[in-house]
Amino acid sequence: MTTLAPPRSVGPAATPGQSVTALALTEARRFARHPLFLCSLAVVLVAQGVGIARQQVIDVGVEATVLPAFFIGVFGFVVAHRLTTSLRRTGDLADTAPVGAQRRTVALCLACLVPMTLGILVILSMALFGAVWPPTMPDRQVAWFGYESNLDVWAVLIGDVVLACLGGPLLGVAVARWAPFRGSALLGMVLLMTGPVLAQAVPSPWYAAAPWVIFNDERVVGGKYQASWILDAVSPAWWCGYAACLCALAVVAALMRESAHRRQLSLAGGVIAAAAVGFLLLAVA
Amino acid sequence: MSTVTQSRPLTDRFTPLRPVVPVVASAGAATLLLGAVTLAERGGEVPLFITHLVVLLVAAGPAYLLDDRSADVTAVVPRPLLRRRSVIVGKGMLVAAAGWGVVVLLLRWRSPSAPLDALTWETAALTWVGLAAAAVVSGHGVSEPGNQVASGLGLLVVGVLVGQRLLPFPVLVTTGDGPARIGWWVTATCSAVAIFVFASRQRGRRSDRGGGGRRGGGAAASRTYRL
Repeated sequence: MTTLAPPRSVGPAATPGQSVTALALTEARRFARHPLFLCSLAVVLVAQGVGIARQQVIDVGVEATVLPAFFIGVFGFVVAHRLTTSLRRTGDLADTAPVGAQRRTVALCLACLVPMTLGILVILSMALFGAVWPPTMPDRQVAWFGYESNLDVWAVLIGDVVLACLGGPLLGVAVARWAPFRGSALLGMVLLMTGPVLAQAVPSPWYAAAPWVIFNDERVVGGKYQASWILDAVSPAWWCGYAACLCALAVVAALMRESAHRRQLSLAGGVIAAAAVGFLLLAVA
Repeated sequence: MSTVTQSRPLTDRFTPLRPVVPVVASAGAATLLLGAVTLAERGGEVPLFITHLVVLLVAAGPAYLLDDRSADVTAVVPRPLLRRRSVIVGKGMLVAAAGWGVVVLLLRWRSPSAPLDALTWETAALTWVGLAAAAVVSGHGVSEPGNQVASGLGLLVVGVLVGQRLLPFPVLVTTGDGPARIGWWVTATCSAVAIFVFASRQRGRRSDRGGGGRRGGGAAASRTYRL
């Protein structure tokens, strides 16, 4: 007697949405496990731990955003660049890929939500610890909740941490798609760091055109902070819209590397660029 | 009777220079960046933060010198690894030194307060740290360690620049009147050179790569020599 096993049914082909979701989850796992991302996570955790031990997580107000912005945003740039170029490194082994390059790029862009999520957790912890141990300064003026408007402080935190954590990796994907040559990660990283520093030399308020802005100023006497405050020259809330548009432009730029949907992408890029200009003008008005 | 003269193709003449192309590119990028910042500052001094980024660009280029795309398909190597690397590294260091010389001239012209001695030691040490790291990574079977090492070096330097205030002592000079940590950088340079030499020893690689090669090299592969 023989038993005939019924043939395994072949399910319906995956839709583009399903394949992108599956790829995005895979890329997100790769991003979260990348040694450089784990390194940035460790630095942020150590910095928070030191702050908690000293009961002073927020020492000089919103200036505390520099560390997470760099260690998640710039490290994320390199991680995203390496993940994107790794697709090229396997090109010789896999002549055909089950999904197109554009869909893989979308998945990589979605994976950049991992560092953004970490950025959200960082600002929530900053807000929490800032409420537990409120920052103080000799001149009784700190660029933080209670001294400045809540909207402005939240906007600075979102713009300088959350959007930096998203924008850096998205830029890494775009640079890797368009300039995958050796050394482009290093060059991109240096230019990414140079932009905001050079922008400080630009007359106020046009320094806000930089992809990352220092919104606060402080008074220092003998190397000790006396007071810090958020500058009036630029509206942080409108600037967040500008930074979000820059993030979207990075996605469009990454996707435009392939010829498919280029017309629609150009149109979307134009609309987003116009919106970015609008937000910037509102921010400096 | 006619004499046939067969000239070498132009690409062959430049082949020995191919490994130093990334060094030329990074030194050129450093010079361009410094020139652009000098122009943007409109007479002001170049910020020391930017100067450190220029140092990083000059120092990261030599990390690509040990990239060897043919490592996996080459069965026999004609010369010991250290000797071969010494030639390539020597050429690369000459190019990097020339690039740094241009940077020093620019800095001396527009940023007289920049601590050039300390920055020169910093550049030398970072260059050798990159080379040592590339040699170690290469020893672990990565044929092109340049990208990894240069990115890692960049993140390390910029990370120290950003997070230096959390450290118990200054590593990089961040203000013009800061102490020049030359002793620190000389120690780092000597250690990095020692690691580079140690990691570039043959350690039986010749026998590994001989006899037809590990990866199906055979006679054809055994005639392919690495640079």
